[in-house]
Amino acid sequence: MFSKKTVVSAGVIGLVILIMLVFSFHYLRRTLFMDAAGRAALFIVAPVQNIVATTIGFVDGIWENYFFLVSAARENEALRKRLAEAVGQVDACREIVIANERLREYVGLVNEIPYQTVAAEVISRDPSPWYRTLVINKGSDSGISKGCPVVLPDGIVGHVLTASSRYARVLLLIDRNCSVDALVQRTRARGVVEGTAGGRCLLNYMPRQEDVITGDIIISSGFDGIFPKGLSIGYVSKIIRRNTGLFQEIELAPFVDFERIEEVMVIINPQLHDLEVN
Amino acid sequence: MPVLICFLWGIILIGVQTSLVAVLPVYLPFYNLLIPYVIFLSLFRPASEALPQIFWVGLVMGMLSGAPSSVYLIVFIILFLLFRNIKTYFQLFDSFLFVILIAVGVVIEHLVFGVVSLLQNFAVEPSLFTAYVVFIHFIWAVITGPLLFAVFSRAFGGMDRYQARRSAKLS
Repeated sequence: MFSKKTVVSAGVIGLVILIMLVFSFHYLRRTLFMDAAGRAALFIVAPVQNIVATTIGFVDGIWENYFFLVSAARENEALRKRLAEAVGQVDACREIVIANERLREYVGLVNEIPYQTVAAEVISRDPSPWYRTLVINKGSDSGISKGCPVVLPDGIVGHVLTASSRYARVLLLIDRNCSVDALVQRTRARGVVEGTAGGRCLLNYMPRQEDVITGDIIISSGFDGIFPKGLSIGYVSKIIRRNTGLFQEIELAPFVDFERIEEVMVIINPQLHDLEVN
Repeated sequence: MPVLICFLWGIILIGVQTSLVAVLPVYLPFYNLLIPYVIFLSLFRPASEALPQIFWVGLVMGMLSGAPSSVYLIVFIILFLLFRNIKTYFQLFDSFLFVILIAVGVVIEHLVFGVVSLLQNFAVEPSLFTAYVVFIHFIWAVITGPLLFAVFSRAFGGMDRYQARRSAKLS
């Protein structure tokens, strides 16, 4: 049915594909060569991504600043009303901040972030919906290296996978290859937060007898050597306790909205991690 | 020179695609723009020109993605092998065939990624969201297919004409 040449060609191609599959899963991914290749790919493509992202931002800016002026007068009126309300709220907040500072002094808490951070913009996302990574516009020139934690005020975003001189690739918390050693803030019970195929997070390895309830806040424990202790991850949204099995199944709702990340903070001095757990 | 232009063309497509993904709303996920490119190369360009470019874009995409490094390359090679001689069996207008094949290519890509996920974790969650993503990709492919066909045809046609003029000048 097929000529000998066709069969040999198909066989060779099949063999090459098989070898590539095996190597990419079990060996090549971890070598220095693949790391260097990843950095090279970032170095080549990221400037193009940066140009495209800037162009899109420029067009978006024209749209927002010019065409939307049509409705600006009405919006202005509404905003004035909201401003008046906000001023009142700010005054109330100022009182709270003052009280908070006073209380912090009482309990001896340090009011400074003990980590050195670098702000970076997201310029692209993973081309495949099956994997969750993004590229940021800061790299090793800014002190970013492989493994640096990436955060937002809301909580953990992920960690740096590869860093070229001016760009870095970040593995998101919701990727199935990402995991964070975590604590339940209320009970200090320990587990591991992992991403899932559906872009959700699970708190795994939490023994059945541990007291976890819906709404519990999950924070990083600092034990994984990547994320500093005490960073917010998310809250418990669903718990399943089966009749069998050692662990309970806990689903988390991350605090970070991973679909709307535009800027991130990268912690570049992870050697300052506090590894103690209360 | 044309080889360099082709390689640059691949990089630009990757840059546009990955940056576009970042700005589109989550309910409108964009499909892989390299699929139409690879299908165009497979259908209308000689293998000696198509294969190096397929390897190039496949490797770069693999390096940029969180996926195992050669998965994109495997997808592109599968598309090349499947669609290389398909014009022999389906006598359709080039642009119409192209659109159909992009849509099929998108589905094949998701199937390969599903299998790879299965091999990696031994667990794939067949979620509604995944089905929705495949469907939206399919729709994008059908909508943008004719435009991409026109762009690729013009770009490669222009390059061919440039090469012909150049070789005529030299001879």
